[in-house]
Amino acid sequence: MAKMTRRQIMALSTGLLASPLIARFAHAQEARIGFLSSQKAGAFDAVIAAFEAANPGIKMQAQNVPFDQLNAQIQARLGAGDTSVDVFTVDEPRVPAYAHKGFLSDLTPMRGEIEAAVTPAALVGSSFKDKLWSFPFWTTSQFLFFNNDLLKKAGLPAPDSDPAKRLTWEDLLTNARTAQKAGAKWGFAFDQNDRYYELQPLYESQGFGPGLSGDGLLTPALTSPGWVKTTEWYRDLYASGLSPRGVAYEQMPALFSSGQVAYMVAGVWHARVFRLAKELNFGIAPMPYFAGGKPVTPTGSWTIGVNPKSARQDAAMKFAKFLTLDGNGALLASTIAPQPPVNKVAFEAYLKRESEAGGGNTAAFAKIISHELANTTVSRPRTIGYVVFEEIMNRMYSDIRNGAEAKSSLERTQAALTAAFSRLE
Amino acid sequence: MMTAHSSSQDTATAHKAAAAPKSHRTVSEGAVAAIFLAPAIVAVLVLRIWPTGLALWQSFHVGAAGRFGLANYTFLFSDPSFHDALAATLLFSLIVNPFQIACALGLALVLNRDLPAGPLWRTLVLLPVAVPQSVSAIIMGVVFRPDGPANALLATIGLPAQGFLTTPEQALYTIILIVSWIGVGYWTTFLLAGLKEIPAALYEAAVIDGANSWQQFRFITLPQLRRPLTFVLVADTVANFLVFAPVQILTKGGPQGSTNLIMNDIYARGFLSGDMRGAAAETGILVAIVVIIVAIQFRMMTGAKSE
Repeated sequence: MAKMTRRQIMALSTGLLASPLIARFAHAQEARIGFLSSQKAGAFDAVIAAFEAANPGIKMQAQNVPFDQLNAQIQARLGAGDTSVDVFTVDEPRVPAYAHKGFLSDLTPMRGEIEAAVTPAALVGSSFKDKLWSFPFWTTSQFLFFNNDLLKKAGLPAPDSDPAKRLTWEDLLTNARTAQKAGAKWGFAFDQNDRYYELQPLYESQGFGPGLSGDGLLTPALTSPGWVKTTEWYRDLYASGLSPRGVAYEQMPALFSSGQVAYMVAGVWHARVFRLAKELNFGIAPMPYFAGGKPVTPTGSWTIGVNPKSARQDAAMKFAKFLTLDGNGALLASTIAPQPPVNKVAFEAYLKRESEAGGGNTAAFAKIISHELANTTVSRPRTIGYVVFEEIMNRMYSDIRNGAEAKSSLERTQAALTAAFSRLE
Repeated sequence: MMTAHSSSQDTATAHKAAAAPKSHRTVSEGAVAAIFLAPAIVAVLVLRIWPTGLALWQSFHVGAAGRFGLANYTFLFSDPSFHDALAATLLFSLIVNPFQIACALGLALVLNRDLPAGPLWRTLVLLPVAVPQSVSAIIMGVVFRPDGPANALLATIGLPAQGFLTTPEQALYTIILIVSWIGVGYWTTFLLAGLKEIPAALYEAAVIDGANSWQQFRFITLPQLRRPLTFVLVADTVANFLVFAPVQILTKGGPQGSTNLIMNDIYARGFLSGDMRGAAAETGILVAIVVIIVAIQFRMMTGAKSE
């Protein structure tokens, strides 16, 4: 370096220090809206393109993280006042906790507009303490997917698609063992193998409750005989070798696509991946129930929240509305990640599209979903403790699936939840 | 490990700045030094001191009104998950530190000899350091999968397959193996540099006095290596208290909490459970433990010198 005067050095260092500020300023001019979700990259490309075309001057920036990291990202980024997330997906049962923490804009003034566009059940998922905190977006249901070829090989009939004739778990597992003996690598599997979401119906179907009780659902109730018995039933799926151990839930649908599983309970949106799988001959039926109990299916899905600290509230709201209240936008958003939209117009179009897309394989798509959503759904507990409840429960199921004892795990989890709930402020 | 790495870089920057040539009179020497030091000082202040201070400040506040109090700390001491994390971390530290230092010292002694293709071996030992921790963790995760190469190797020599990361009995030890594979090469370089500094004359004199190789190691090598060994001991201990990426990527603290090291517990508490103040208090306890252990280590090493 040649000789530098004091002034030159001062100018240089001031410039260096100021450059991030200048970049930030330039950034702000573009109205760039950050949209954080846990869908695969590209899942919202179509709807974003349509939105940007209709709204010149607004640029969407999709931020995709794995499901397991979404909660951590939201807590870390919104908790620290980060404004690079303007709009984000919020799982329904997390609405109370995030609203309580101030992560969600109050949408109560828009209630009329929202009510007119979506199904009534969906409003519950976006509400907490008589206020509306997020835009209802998707709903979910489950199917019992089955592999026709593997069933034929074992001489088993295809399960009936009529919800009135659904299988009991007892019959299903007997059939699954038969299919496994006849050559299926795995007889039966849950796709979300260690998720409370898909396992809650096992308890609810027999009347054992959601695992939470008391005022505000903040008292863990995991150690009743019914909970222990049902958790042992779940553990035995893996201990007996009927379901695969050590496979992450993201990889479960691929096991079915590649013809390794005879029966799989999985989200309805997997029908798209399965019908795209070559040489997979599958069918759909309603989710089983325990003999003597009642049919219960999981539901609830993502809603769309707006960061109250967003510097571009108007643009952020506009995008959130396009995804949810606009029939065309809602249908476009349910294409690559084909979860049922709760927008009334889009829902009908979605059912028609998905029922027809799979030919004979998915003919019963609309019939089953419509029946389940109207008759058998149970929502996850709505409490400010749900976020920590789900994190701890999923860890417990993962341990049990990999061999931990049911009873002692439930007792330890009960203690961990009691400690964690005492920390909610 | 990153802590040790960046702080040594900081010192290197500081040395360079202090040794800047004195001839340029246009700007005073102090100003030049200040400008060169500024990035390092700003980085330390903004990235380390400030967040730590903020965390400690948060950890002493309770309730929605944010009153001053010790409740975050008293809660932690009653929380079974914190007890388990503390126990796992202490067990981990008691094993991993002596193990890594012994491996590093052994490797340094071997590499210090005139081996055929010496530089090649040195490069191979240092190579894992150049790979990001997260990548190493993923690679080793594949190696130790139940159907992975580690079990295939065991099978070829007739041993039964092991659960490794999937069983609570073996997971912590597998993590120890993995972080050691990642870290040992780094510590070896410091010890190797120390070995190169020992004057050959000392060994020649010892040989004339009839000292055998063990005596040479015990009375020349070890005392002469005290300074690099102190550094490695302290820096390695600190680094191992801060192990996070391999745990987060491979086990997330499981199975059954067996690898829930304190850093992972802090992460889960703060970002998964949303208990930021509890996580801040746990950070405070971690910092206190590390400071106490490092102080004891310094005391022991200086005590050994005066004997």
